[in-house]
Amino acid sequence: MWTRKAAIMLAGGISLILVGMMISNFQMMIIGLTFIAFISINGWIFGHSELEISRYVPHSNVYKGELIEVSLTITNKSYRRTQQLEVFDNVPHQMKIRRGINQIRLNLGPGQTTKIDYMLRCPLRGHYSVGPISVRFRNAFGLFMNESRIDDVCDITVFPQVRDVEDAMLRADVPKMYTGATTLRTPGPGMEFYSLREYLSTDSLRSINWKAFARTGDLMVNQKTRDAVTDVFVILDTREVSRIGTVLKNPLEMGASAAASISNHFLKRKDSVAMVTYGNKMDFLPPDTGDKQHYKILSRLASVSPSGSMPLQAVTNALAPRISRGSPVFIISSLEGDGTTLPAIRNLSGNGHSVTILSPSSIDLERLVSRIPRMSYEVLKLERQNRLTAVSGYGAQVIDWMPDVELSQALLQSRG
Amino acid sequence: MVEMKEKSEEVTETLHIPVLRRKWQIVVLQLVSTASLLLLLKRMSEIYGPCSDQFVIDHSETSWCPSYEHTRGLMWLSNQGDLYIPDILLGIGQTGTLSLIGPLLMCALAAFAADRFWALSHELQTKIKQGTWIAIAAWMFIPFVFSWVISMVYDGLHFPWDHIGHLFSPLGLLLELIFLGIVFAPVLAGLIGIWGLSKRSISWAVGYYIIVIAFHSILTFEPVLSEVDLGLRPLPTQIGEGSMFWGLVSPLAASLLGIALLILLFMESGIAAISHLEYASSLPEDAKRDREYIRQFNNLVNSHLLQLCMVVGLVAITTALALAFDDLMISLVGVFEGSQWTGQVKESLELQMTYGKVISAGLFILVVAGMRFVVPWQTLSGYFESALANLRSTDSVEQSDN
Repeated sequence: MWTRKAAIMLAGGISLILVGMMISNFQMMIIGLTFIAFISINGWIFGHSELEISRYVPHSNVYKGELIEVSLTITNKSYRRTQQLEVFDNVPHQMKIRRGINQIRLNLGPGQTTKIDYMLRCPLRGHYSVGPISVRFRNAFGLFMNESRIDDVCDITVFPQVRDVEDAMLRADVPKMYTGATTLRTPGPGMEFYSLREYLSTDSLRSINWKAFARTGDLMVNQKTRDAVTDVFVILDTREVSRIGTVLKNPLEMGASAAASISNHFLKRKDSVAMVTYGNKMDFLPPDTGDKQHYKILSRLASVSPSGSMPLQAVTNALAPRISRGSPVFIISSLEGDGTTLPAIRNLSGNGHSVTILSPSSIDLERLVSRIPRMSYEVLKLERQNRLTAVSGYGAQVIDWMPDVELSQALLQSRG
Repeated sequence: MVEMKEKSEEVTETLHIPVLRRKWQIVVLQLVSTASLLLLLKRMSEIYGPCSDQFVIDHSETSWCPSYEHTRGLMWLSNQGDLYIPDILLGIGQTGTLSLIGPLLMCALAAFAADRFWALSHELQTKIKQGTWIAIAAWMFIPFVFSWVISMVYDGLHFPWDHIGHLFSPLGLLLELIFLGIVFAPVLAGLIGIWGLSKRSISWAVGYYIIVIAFHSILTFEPVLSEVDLGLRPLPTQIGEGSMFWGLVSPLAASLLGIALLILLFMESGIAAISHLEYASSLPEDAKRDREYIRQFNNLVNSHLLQLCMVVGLVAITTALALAFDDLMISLVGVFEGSQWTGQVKESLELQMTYGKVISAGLFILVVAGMRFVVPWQTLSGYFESALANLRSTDSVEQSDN
């Protein structure tokens, strides 16, 4: 493709030749011819993008706020120079370049290789793609340009941040030991004695029952009853109203991080965790345990976006047949714009569920982006307090989560 | 020790602008551009500077004509009254290249001052501007008021009509600068462009030269000249027989081609230096210290220098060949003497010299442009480069073995 400079030069050259011919002036004609000869000779030099480009990204899954190091190795496999090339790795605009740069100008000789390294910061959760790679040839004198793409794409999932809530959960007034629907009388980590068995090399020395050893002469260990396996239900509000606030600080972002942290806490305790998100539609991830479930939850949370206006009662009604009796339920919602909140929570409490509501304060989040008159703020705040009090009146533990308060701190503030 | 040496090497070669401004490739590009600019000034003064012989005969050697020459105008101005700038700086009293030295020194100083001025803070720039305006106002009004008051002391109260001339003192300096500027404005703009890194100034200088040439061409065009003779010397309408470079170009064609090539060289080398520095400045701090980026930057500037030499050389040869292509065609047609068609072609080329020359030159350049698809220049040069690289690596292995 011709650049503006080449077009101006050609037009200027032709004009000078024509005007020179009209007024019989050789100087103008020669300048015009020189310009056109310059373009013609430059036409001989053309770059190419027959490059071997490989991208190396050590981790395709990261947590929000973490850094990713990207390496791009560019090799000229052909028998001619690449000429002046600009290699540009397309990075999603949500990611920020922390170190280095995602582009380079190069002129590789035959067989030569170069490498660029840059570091990306992922401030927003979600599924992203780094790439494709744009290669632009630009003539040394800026006369011709040619752009091509190399479809090398690397998918990256940015999970929400997982906070350590271990201490907060122990000290908080939120459910600790649940009597879920399924109590398994099986050996496992727990407090109650289950049985004696022979010592294995993998057993801890502390678990040896010395009295039994003295009695039988064989090394015996105490087996404990596995604590009740609980199905914990985490319900995350992803409705349109959860967008309120800034891109980085809004009910959905805070909620996603809280859901990930709470799930992580219970999964570590070998409990089963189910994840429900509702906004445009309800997405239900059945209860399960282990790392696989943890990954599924994080992936689900990575992809949620604010949309829709599904009422909470529709969710609880839909969940009713699937939810195990007595299972604790965590609802993470700002509780804004939903008139069914109270009956939904009344139903859950009435069915014997221990309900904990973690409610990011959307009014305070709104204040981060727009100016709310003091009087209006006070009124809105009062309305919210009344709503939370009404909810707690149905036996739910309610946590009013302010934007500047850490999750672990917020969990300690439960009231019921 | 080896590590320390490596680290010190890393620090010395970076892509920071102060370091790059001392890099030999960048300095060479800027020097080439400056040399082209100065040579261009010299060539332009030689070709477009003298007044026509008839004008000199009719008037005198020192009479002013609107040619591309500054001393005539300044001498005419000095006849009206004393000049503010010393003659040595204006080049008055000198002839030829010597007359350019004083103004060129002033241009260099002015370019340096402009570069320093733009490097200052905005507040300081404003203060300097205000100071300059105050100095000009003082120069206008203080002598005026002073002479009027003194006059009133001796002659009594009267209107200052006789002293109003003092108010126009700065105008004299302005006129001197205008006469100088007609010739040296593109040089000043060019120097500011090359050393002050301004692409716009370089383009402006090129545009100015082309406008000067266009004005000269129009004012010396036969129908215009017959109506208004401003004393400019017209260029010959025939380019002449080739007598230089193995009969390839005529002396006039060589001069005119020289001007065209100097314009090209000045523009391309000046802009190349700026483009490379622009790219380097756009890089983040850690990329400026990255070895790969430094290596590729060196690759870019080295290949650019090489291409500049080769392309400008080839352009010179191509244009010279294009200008002589009509002679070749006439010779070829002469071989097939006899047929009616060959006779017509020969006649048309010979009769309409200018058109024939330009059309045949255009055809030749078209052929040159089309050769891109015939000869794989870059693959050939690539094979050559690969072979050279292999040879070098073999040599270095042999040396290390020894």
